[in-house]
Amino acid sequence: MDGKRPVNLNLLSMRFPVTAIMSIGHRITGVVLFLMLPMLLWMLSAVLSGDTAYAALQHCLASPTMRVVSWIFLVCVGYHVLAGVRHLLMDAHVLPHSFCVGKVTAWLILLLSVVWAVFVGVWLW
Amino acid sequence: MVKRFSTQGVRDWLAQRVTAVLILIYALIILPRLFCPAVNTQLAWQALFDQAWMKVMTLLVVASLLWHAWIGLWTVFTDYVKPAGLRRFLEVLVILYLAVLGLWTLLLVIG
Repeated sequence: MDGKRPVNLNLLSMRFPVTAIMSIGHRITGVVLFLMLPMLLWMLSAVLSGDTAYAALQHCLASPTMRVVSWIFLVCVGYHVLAGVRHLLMDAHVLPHSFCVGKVTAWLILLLSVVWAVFVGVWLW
Repeated sequence: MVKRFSTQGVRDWLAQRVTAVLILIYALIILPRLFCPAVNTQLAWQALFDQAWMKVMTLLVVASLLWHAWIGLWTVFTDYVKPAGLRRFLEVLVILYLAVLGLWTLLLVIG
């Protein structure tokens, strides 16, 4: 390779199109959800273990930290699902494959995710 | 010249989408209940998970989830983790993690 080619590794100086941000967000939320799977099973086991365990779970989830964790989880679910549905609609050719449609639907999903995040936040606090 | 080609990519692509739809259906059963105080009680959850169709659905969706997560994770590792040894190691960790979660679910739902 030509050693004199310009190299730019400063990510902050690059501008990413909204579709790229959408895509990396889908990956990040996916990994976060993957890491949160044990928490879900722990909740399911508490729910299925009767009244005492359920009350303990409710008490635990009411703590400030767990409210934030629950909010992060539900926001990741919302974003990942919406971005996934956008992918499925594109795969099924319901949405035309053009950069313009990609950009508009990406903005729409970011907007819907913010609405969902606010709704979940209001519900949790 | 390509003499043999693998259909692994197509299979994973399809599996990721089919499992996604199954998980979405399950999420649409569970999520609305969280926001509805009448059914967000221990008794109501217990009654839901006691039903045979819900047990089958839960096992099917957890299996889908593990498969879906596996495809997602190896894709991410392939893109960002260049050293092959480290990538294999991470893949093994993911497989063990998912296997434990799968067995745990089996015990929870059937036991």
